[in-house]
Parts: sequence; structure tokens; C-alpha cells
Amino acid sequence: MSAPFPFAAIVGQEEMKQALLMAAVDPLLGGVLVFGDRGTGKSTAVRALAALLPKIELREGCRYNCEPDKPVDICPLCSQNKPPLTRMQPAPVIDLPLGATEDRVCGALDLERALVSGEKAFEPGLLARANRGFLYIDEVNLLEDHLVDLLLDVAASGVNLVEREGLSVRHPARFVLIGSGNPEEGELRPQLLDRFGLSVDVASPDTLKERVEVVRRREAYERDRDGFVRAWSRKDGAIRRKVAKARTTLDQVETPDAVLELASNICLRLGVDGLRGELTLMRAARARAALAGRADVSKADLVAIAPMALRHRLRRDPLDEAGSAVRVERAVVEVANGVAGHA
Amino acid sequence: MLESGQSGFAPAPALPARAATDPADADDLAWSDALCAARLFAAAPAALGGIHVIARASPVRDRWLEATRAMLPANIAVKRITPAVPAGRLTGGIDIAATLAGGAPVHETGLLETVSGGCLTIAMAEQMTPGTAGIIARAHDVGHGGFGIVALDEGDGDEDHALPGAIADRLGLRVRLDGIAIRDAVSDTSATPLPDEGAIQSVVIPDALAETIVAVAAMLRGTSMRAPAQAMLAARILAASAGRTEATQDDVATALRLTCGAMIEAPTEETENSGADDTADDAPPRNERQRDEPETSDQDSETDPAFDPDLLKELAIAATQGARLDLDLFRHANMTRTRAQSAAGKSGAVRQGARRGRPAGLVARPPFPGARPNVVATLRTAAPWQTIRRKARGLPAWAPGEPLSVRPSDFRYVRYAHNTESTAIFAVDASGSTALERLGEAKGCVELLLADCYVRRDQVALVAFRGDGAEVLLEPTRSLVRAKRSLTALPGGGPTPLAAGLGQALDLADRARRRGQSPLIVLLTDGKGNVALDGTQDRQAARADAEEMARHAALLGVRSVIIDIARRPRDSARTLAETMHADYVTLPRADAGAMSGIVADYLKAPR
Repeated sequence: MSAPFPFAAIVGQEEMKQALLMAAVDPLLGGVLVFGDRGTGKSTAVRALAALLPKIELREGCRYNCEPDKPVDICPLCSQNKPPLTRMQPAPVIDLPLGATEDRVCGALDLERALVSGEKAFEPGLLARANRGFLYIDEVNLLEDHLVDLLLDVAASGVNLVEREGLSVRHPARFVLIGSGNPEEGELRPQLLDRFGLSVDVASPDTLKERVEVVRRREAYERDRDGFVRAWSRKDGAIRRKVAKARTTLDQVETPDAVLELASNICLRLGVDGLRGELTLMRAARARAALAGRADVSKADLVAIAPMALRHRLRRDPLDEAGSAVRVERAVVEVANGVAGHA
Repeated sequence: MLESGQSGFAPAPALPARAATDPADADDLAWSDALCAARLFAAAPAALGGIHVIARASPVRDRWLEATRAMLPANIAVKRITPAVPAGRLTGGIDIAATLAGGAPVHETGLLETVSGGCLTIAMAEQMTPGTAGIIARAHDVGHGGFGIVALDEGDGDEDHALPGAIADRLGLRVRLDGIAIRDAVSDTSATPLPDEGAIQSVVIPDALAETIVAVAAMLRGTSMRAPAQAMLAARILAASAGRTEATQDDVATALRLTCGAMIEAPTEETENSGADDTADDAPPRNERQRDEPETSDQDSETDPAFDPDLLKELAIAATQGARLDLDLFRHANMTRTRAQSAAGKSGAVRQGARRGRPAGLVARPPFPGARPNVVATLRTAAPWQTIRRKARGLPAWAPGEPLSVRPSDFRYVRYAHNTESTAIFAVDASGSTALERLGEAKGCVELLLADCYVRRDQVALVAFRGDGAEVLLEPTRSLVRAKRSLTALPGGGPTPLAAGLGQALDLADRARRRGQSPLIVLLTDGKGNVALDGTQDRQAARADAEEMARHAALLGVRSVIIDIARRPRDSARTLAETMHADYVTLPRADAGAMSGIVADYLKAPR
């Protein structure tokens, strides 16, 4: 596979880019859902992200992406007495194809070894390969229901469990779920919707200048992929360093009480069910502050990320013509002003 | 007409930038365009994505395919598949039967891998499931070397069967072959060499023309950013094959016609000039009509902006002056595009959802008590275990002729899609003075139902009848987003073609039933029609027609409910309900909440 389109060269789409970077900074954020029409650069952005992520430490040939100091006991490679040396490798970004079978996703009997030598061995699936990285599902709204259930289960627990006739396998599968889709082709089940931390809507740029720029860059990339990637490598590198730095400082980012209060007020005002909304709001605000290189979360962080953290959690009011993002923004403005008035 | 070669691909293609004036020439043009598209494709199969061929199986299509094959380099892989090809064949894996028999792993190369760098022909592409489309689209994007796709779409406007959007958007070229006479379809004998990669890439497209391409592509193919990129490439190839190093306006016009032309859904003059409300109203039926008619008719060519040199010039001028394009134009284009496109999208939702008796994957547990295991799937599951199981019992490895050991854990069952899905079809009387209010409430009701329809997997459709006919405002859908987009503006007023409305609703109901859903017709009317089926304003004939339709509905046994919305309910609606064997509810003040309550009860109720 040739070099993917550079992340920095994507024109516009600031909200999507911001959301993806935040998910890369804080894997516990719960993933990103990208909704938009075809040809708006959803897949391009995700594949670009793959090339941008800071590398992780892996052993050569490990199929479970084990953490070097905590190998999985079923990993034949890392559980040896003298495992091979670790190397810094790109974080995995795994594509989950729509037609994938359950076996393919979870892992199953290793067909080759079973057929040839009659050995009972486990062949890890896509979930194992996505461990410590990203799992990308294009057209997530068209995914078979039983697969969606399975993914939800694993994403929530971080563990993949396979049981079958003497095969009893448990291995970690911690990954950031990124889904994309076109809402016109069917809505996503509310249960799955809520599991995603952030949700962004994308549209292609609507000014002629930007659109021409998109096409020009795409053409330059098609003409000379490596050259184009090289030309953008400095900007990509800057983003990569920003993400890597944000990851290390994330834990030290302080959240003032006033911001916490504001977050709760926003959720109350919008009537968001459960605490997941507030938690995501806080985490996302911290990830944004960390990305910006600040040590404290400001109210501006919260206001900026509230739409993407909350828009998919609202109870739907089908008669409201305005989109849910608008409703969130409205509530944020109201609450923020109210709080300011008290102070 | 045999001189068509002259207007077709000559070494220096003086490609027609505008429509021919008489229909016979238009035929000619359609064929030479088709050949031209094939040539562009042959020059860069993977980069242009492919060709969306809208045509029934016909000798003309065969000729075109032959001609296309002849243009493609002889040494590339050319494969043909049908939509029924299993996912395993596409992506490859271990050939279980061969491996068991041979005792050594036999890898089956995936079809998509073997076609890398070549050309994949998909027959009956409109039957493809979104799942298969997803696999192919992904291989197309990230595969080694990529490949070109020739998608043979025989659907031609059939709402239930359209090429999945995932594929359609990736195909750069559009070709329509229906309506071309066989005598016009002469193969192009002037075999000029294809321009090489370097020549294509070195073609310069002036900024003004590039902006024109982007603007026109946005208008004609909507939001997708693939369209302008494909059109730019097409223009480059055209210029390169004419030996030019800079693309001309003619190249651009031709490129736009071939990449976006056949899918024209741009604002026409009347819609541009009329009021804002009208634009949205008129657009959908117009598109339908344009798509149904053969492209070649004279009138179509006139309303077709890609053919219109004035529009091109205007756009080019606007672009050169650095003027920002009218954003309304974009928005409008996006809207029309989305509507037309949604045909493909909807079929996805339907297919993935519930069709009675359609298998939807294999499961290890019986999906319902008394389900019978699928023999082939069970044997496939058991096959890899044979050697292991025999080893455990101390037997030698499995060899052909030995018995198979099958255990309960091998059983696989075919899971069928839900069969409880319902489709609520609203047929709304949009005539008279209260029409707007009524339609508004019906719309609210549709949206309320859709808001929680996911739970029940129901679909909703809306038919409005007024003036001289009925139109489907909302095709059956489960998507709230779609409903909102198509129902933004609703037409109202005029006389009442009750029979036509009923007929349209029955048609939808019939289609829903063929998909295995149970339809429910909700008819909002006062029962007083005054336009007959043939469009004449004749109360007697109108009533007779409506009665006829109602009897037809009763015969079909479609579950239906008539909501009488007359201020003072009289007998007419009640009589209609009796003829139709429909339930009868009076709701003098139709409001969305009450209506959706009634309909939801019907949808939930078992048949």
C-alpha cells in the first residue's frame, strides 16, 4: 500500500480533524463517529490519521499487539522465555470490512494448521490486530446487528472472549472505535450511538476556492504520492509531535470546579441521559487543552467541544428543524451566560 | 448515419461540446460519447474509477463492451462477476476442500486481488448488496494498484434496485446505452494509441477552467469531492489524446458531460425563476422524469446544463473574477443530488433490514425453535476439525472417502431477516384550502413515527395528491434525515384526484409487500374526489374511479385506515372505508401527535 494522503493536507474539515486528534490523545474518550455524505473525505482522514499516530512499542511478528511488559499468555511469540526484541512500529489502524464474518472479527480456529497438521490453534481476528490502535468501520450504520453487538461488548470491556469446543481464548482488545456513515442510508441504533464518545457531521467545503484546492491537492497527490507526502511531512510531523506531547501531559491537565459545574449545567439543560455525556464532555475538554499545550481546562475548551460530545446523546425531537448541534450550541450559550451572570 | 466515426474518436477529437439539434444526431452523439467514455476509461482505469453503464442487456451493450475490451491494454486482467459472488471469493482465503484433499494448505486468491491493475465488470450491478459493495469499494480504494470497474446497471430508475452508492460514487464516467439503435452502434475502427501517463499528467488545466469543473461538478453531482477530481482527469486525458498540453474549454465540456452529464439534476430555468417554495416542489418529479426518459431526446438536451455553453461561460467568468459562487446554487444542487442519490441509499436500508425469507448470515444457535441446520454451512464448519478429531480418537488423518465426524457445535443455521417490518404509507389529500395545514401535520406525524421507528424497524412513505395527479413525496424510508430533507416544502391546493392518490398508495403497498414487509395505508381525506384517473374534472367519473380503486384495495387485502379530516364528516369517507374494508377514524382537527398515536397503534398491532 502506498503512502496515505497526509493529514495536514486535508482542506477544511476542522471539526473532524480535531475530533480524531482528540481521540488519538485520549483512547478512553470512546471513539469518534463521523457522519456525512459520500466523497467528503471521511475515509481519507481516518487513513491519514493512521500514518500520523505516534508509534508504539511492539514485538516483531506479534499478532496480538501485546504490550511488551504485559504479554498475553496465549501469544505464542511474547510468552516465550526469550521473546524477540521490541521495535517502534506504527499504531495499527484496522479496517473492518462490511462483509466480515464473526470468525474474522473475533478470531477462530486456525484453518491452515487444523487442516494440515490437525493442530488446534487459535487464529486471532481483527479485534486482536486492532489492540492498542484504532478500529475503523466505514458505513457503520450498515453493519450487521449481531456484529454491532459483539463490537460494543468488546469495546466496552476491552477484552475479547472466544469459546468453542476446546478453544477458550481471552485476549485484550483495547481500541478506539471510529465509525463513519451516511445517515441517509439508515440510522444507527441508539445504543451504539451513545457508545461513541464524539460525533461529528462532515460536509464537503462549500466555497469554490476550497473545493478547487481540494481537487488540486488530490491531483498533486495522485501524480506523485511520495513527493507529495514528503512535501507535507513537516506539517504532519508537527501534528504528530503535538499528539505525542498531549498524551504525556494529559494526566496533568487540571479541571477547575467552575468548568465542571458548567459541564453539569449544560447536560442538565439538554436533558442528556446518564453520566456518560458529562464524562465525555470533561475528557474531551481535557484532551483539547492538552492538544493546545495548556495545563488547565478553560470554559472555552468546553464550549468548543460540547457539540461533538453531546449532539448524538440528545433525545430526539423530530419536529425541531434545527440540527442537534445547534441545540447544543444554544444550550451552551444560555448556560454559559447564566453562569457568568451569577458570578 | 454510418459516418458517426467522424464525430466520434478521431485522432484529434473535435468532440461535440453541445447537443446535436435533431434526435437522430443525438443518437449518434450518445454512441460516440459512450465510445469516448470507454476510451477515457481505457487510458486510466483505476484513476477514473470506472464506468457506470446504465443499459439493459442488448446487442448495443454487447458491442459497447466489446469495443471497450478492445481499447483496454491486452495484458491486463479482466474479470466479470455477478453480485451473488460470496465475500470469501472476493477476498480469498484457504480453499477448505482442496486443502483437506491435498493435505497441504491451498490458498485461494481473492478475485479482487487477481484483478489488481485490471478491470472488473460487475453484471447486474443494481442487485449488489451494500455489503458486497463495501468490500469492492474498499479494495478499490486501498488495493495494490487498484482496478477499474465497469458496473452494468440494468435497474434504470427502479427504486428498489439501484447501484449501491459506495460503488456509484467511485465511478467517474456515466454511459447510457438505452435508446441507441443498433445501426448507430458501429465500432470505432480508428485505433489511435492511448495517451501515456506522463502526457496525461503534464496537461495543464488553467485555473479558470479548473474552477469551472469544480463548480459544475458540485452542481451536477453534489457534495462528493470525487466527481471534480474525476472530471479534471478526464479533461486531461482528452487534451493529451489530442496532443495538447493545455486543456481547452471543449475538453472540459466533454469531460463534464461524460463524468457528470448523464446524471443531470441541475436547476432548470423554470425552477430557477420561480419562487423558493416552488423550487423544492418541482425538483423531485422533474428528476424522475429526466431519468426515466432516454437521454437522447431533444428537449432533454436543452435543459441539460452540461450541454449549455452559456452556463459554462458564465461559470467560467464568475470563476475568473474570483467571485464566490452563489451559495444557494450549491445548496440547491446538494439537495437535488441527495434526493436522486437516495434511491441507492434506501435500497441499502431495505436490504440490510428485513426481508422475509431472505438469509442474513449464519449463526451457531437456532434463530428460532425448530430451525433446521444448513447442511452445507455445517459441513464447512466441520471440515477443518476432521483431522483434529480423528487424532483425538487415535485415527490417521482424514482422507477422501472416510466418514466425516460432525458434532452439535458444528451446526450452523441460516439467520433470516426480521419479518415483522411494517411500512406506513400516508396518502394525504393535499387539495383545497386546508391542504397546507393538513400536510404539515402529516409531515409532523411522519417524523414522529420515524423518530422511534428504529426500535420497531418500520418504514414510512408519503404520497400527496392534488391537482391532476398523485406524487410520492417520500419513498419508504427509515431515515429521519431523509424524511426531513424531502419534506422541507410541501405543495398544496387544487382539485382532488382521490383515485390517483389511492392508486399510488396501493402501488407502494404492493412494492412493500414484495419486499416482505406488511404495508399499512393511512389515507387522510374527506372522501370527496373530483378528478378522475384520466385527469378530467368529473365528479361522477372521479367517484366511480375512487370506488374502483377502493375495491381493488379490498381485494389486495392491504391493511388500511381512513382518517376523515373533513370539518363536518359526512358519509363519503365512511362509504369509501367500507368499500375498502378499511378502518374509519374521524379527526376533524388533524394533529401530528394524535395521528401518530393512531398509526403507531396500528403498526404495533399484530395482523
